[in-house]
Parts: sequence; C-alpha cells; structure tokens
Amino acid sequence: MLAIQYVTIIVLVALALYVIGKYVRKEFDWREFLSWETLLLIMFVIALKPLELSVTIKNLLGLGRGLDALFVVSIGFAYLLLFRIYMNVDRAEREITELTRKIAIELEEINEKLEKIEKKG
Amino acid sequence: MKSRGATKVESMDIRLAIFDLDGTLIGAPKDFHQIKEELRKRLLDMGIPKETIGDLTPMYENLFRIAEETNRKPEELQKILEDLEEERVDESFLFDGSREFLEFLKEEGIKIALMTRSCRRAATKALNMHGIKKYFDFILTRSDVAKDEVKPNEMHVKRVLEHFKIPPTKAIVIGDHGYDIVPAKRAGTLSLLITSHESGRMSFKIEEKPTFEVPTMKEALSLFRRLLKTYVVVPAYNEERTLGEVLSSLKLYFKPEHIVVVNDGSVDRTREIARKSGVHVLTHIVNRGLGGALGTGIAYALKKGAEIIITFDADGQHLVGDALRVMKPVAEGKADFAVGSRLKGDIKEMPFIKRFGNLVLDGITAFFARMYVSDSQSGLRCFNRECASKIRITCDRYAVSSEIIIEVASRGCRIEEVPIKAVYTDYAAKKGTNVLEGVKIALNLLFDKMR
Repeated sequence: MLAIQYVTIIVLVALALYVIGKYVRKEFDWREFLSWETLLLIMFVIALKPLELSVTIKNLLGLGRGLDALFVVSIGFAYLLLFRIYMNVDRAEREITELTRKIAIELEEINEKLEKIEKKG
Repeated sequence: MKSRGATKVESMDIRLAIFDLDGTLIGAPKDFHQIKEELRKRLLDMGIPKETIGDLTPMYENLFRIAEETNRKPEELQKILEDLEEERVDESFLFDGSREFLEFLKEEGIKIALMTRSCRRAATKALNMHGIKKYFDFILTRSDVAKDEVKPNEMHVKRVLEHFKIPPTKAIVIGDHGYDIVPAKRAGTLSLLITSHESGRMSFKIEEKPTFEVPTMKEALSLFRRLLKTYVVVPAYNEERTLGEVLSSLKLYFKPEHIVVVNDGSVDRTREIARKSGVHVLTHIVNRGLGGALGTGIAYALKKGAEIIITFDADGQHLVGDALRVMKPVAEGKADFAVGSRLKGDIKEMPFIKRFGNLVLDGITAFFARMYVSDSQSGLRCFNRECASKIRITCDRYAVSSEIIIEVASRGCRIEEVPIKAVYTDYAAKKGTNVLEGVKIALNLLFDKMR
C-alpha cells in the first residue's frame, strides 16, 4: 500500500464517523446519512484498490492510462456534485425569498391592524 | 379617512365624475344634424339671409354671431334652439347601463356632475324624465356659464372643479365627443370616451386621445370596477433620492392605500420616506433583488383583491402619465398584460450601451417566450388579476423582467406594447441592468429551464 492510501483511508474513516455522529445527533436524516455513507464507502474501496480499479475503468472506457481514467471519472463526478450544490443553493435562495415575502406581508398586515386599533382608540 | 367620508376605498383616486348628457347618458332618434336643419329653416323663415346663417357649426356660438350681424337680441334666437332641444328630449331614451353606472358611482361615494352644451331647460327636463336627476350633485349647462366658457372651452370643466374644490387629476370627464375630451385634457382631468353610442352625437371627429375608451355605458361600469381596484407596486432598493418624488407623482392619480412600496432590504431612508407618504410599505429584511420584490408586491396586491396591478420603477425613469397609458388596454379589457416599451417611444435619451444590451436581452427573451416584445426589460407593466395570478415568478434578480414576459406569453395572456418615454437622469442610468447583469440574466434563464 502507498502512503497516500493510508492518508486517504484515515480521512475517510474520520468522515464516516463524523457522518454517523451527525445522524445520531439527528442533524442528518436517514436519506442523507445513507447517501453520504455510500459515497464514502465507494471512495474507501477506491482507496484500497486504486490501481486494480483504475485498470478496470480503463478497460471499460478505453482510456490511455489507468490513473487518467480515474481522474476523468472523478472530474465528472465532481461536476455532478457541483450541479447538485447549485440546485440546493437555488432552492435555499427561493425559500429565503418566500420567507422574506411572508414576513414582509404579515408585518404590514399587523401594522394595518394596529393602525386601525389606534384610530378607534 | 378622507373628507368624503365614504367607507369604501378605490384605488385610482377618482372623486368626481363629470358627465356629458347627450350621446353619453341619453340618446334620441333625432340627431343634431336634423336639429341644425330645423334651426336653419326657422332662421330662414325669420328672413335671415342664407349667407348670414352659414353652416351653423357649432349652433350655439353661431347664433350669437347671427344675432349681432342682424341686430337682433341673442335671447330671441337662443329661444328657437332651446325649443328645438326641448322637443327633442320628448323622444329621448336612457342608454342601457346609464342608471346602473350612476348608481355604482353613488355607492362608491364619488361625486357626480353634469356638464352639457344643452340649455338648462332641456337638460333638466331630460334628467327628470328619466329619473336620474337625484344622482347629480351639480349641474352646469351652457346656460349657467358665460358664452365663451361653454365646452370645448376648458373653463366649463374648471367651473365644475371649482365647485367641488377637487384637483383635476382626481376627476374624470365622461363623454362621447371631442368636445368633452378636449376640455378634459386642457383642464388636466382624466377622460373616458364612449365610442359606440350613435344617437345624440353631433359629429364624430376626435383628435384628442382620451385616457380610456369603451363602446358603451355597460362597459364603462366594468371599466370603473377595475379602475377602482388598481394597485401600483413600486420595488425600491436604496432609492431615498428619488422615491419621494415618484410617490408624490403617483399619488396624483392613485390612492396612497393602493400604492405598495416593496422596500427590498434598503440600508438608506427608503422605508421612512415611503412610510411618510402614507403608502403601504412591505419590507424585505434582506435584499432579495428585483424579482423577489416584484413577487412580494404582486402577491400582496392580489391578496388585497386587486383587479389591475401596475409595476412602476422607483428610480424616477417613468412618468405617471405613461402608467395611465400602459394601464389603458388592460383596464378596457383589451389585453391581459401590457408593457411600456421605451423602444417604441422616444429613445433619444437612452444611452447606447443600454439600447444594445436591451436588444440582446430582447432576443434571448424572444427565444424562450417564442414571441418578440420590443422592450422586454421595461419596468412599467400592467397585469389584470387573472394574468397576475397565473404567472410564477422564480427569478429573484433582474432576470425577472424576461421571466415575466416568458411566463405571460406561455400562459396565453394577451400582450400589448405601449410606447412610453424613458427619463434617463444620471442617477437612473447608473442603476438597472448593465452588460454583466445581461450575461447573468441569460444564464439564469437557461438554468430556469432545467429546474
């Protein structure tokens, strides 16, 4: 095993524990917990057998060197993640707008009611 | 809360309706052309030469001239015309919807006046005969004003306004003729032209454009129902320099209760200025952008029961007169959505870079909307209730302008473009969309398709 493999494995285990901790503290729901753990598991497998795996991918995709194939796949994967993050940020932005809108309208309505009461009094 | 003491609130701030009588409220089988011929015959019978009589247009003013030229008393000749007018009233009828319209205005607490070129005798007879005299708070016939103050002279309108002490922008003249629209324009009031009441019209030639026009009294009622539920949405982000002036100009025509300023997380005095003007202020705690602000304003207006919603920029680049023009097709029921096009109007003042940027964005919008609108980035728009409830605003930032056009087009709303003038002060030129914003808008629209 190469030194980089040891480092990666340690980091991955730490991350897996962190995710479990989040799940236990109910900061993650089971869906998030499962998806993150699956992702970490896949990375764990890659870290254990990088060369064998890269050769397999190379043979599958017909790319030049084994390691190149691994890079290509991981870059593609990173883009997918980026897109997902974009979508999530976008959703969050909309929710913030919705929230801001609700607060603005309700505050004004409360204001109107107060003004009415003031006028009566 | 206003001096009128009416409990109902209307949004276009109309406090006085000034009606014309003949051809507007009532019609008669005998038209004015026949009256004119009858008058001519009687004048000839009196021995007045044909050349002196002339073509008798307009009749009332010409009688004064003839009296002077033939050394007769004007009253003598006037009496002939008055008799003819009175005879004509015998056969007159009330147009469909006239009574309902008057009833509606009364219920809304709007003052009603009559301004007519008929003589007092004929007008009073007609009002009594059709049982509508009770609706009028004030009647000003040609007999009640000086000879040269009769409409189309604007003094006729001004005398009515003086009586009520109501500013001209809060009054509307309702008539079927240029003789009603011309003085209304000159006196600075709103105007409504009834276009298809054929009987009772003198001659049909109108050069002045009225504020609104509808075919009949029935449609006038539905127009008013919409007008009185018009809301203006003003998105504002750090607009302390211009907002006060913009709001005062809007308040000339619209009730403060129906102006909605969306203060989009401003850090300056925007909120205080808006509050001071007595309009509704919706405050976004954090800045959400133009789209977010418009969405809030529209949602609020719909919640309040708006029938017409106008969006108006707070940076002072729009004129309130243009808002009325953009509102016209929607209020008249001819369109569901209208947008003020700076490119169809006067663009001399528009900086080149803006014109270019607009062109690119128009192209992008046209691609997604499958329809070309000459100024997709315009901030002056008008929706009817149905159209405003159908559209879904998702873009928070400036992309919203294109998004609105795309949404409106795809929901099958009828769109109309109205030429407007853009006022580019140095201040306004710095704001709004620039090239970088343009690129962002394009990207946003692309991503929007993938959501």
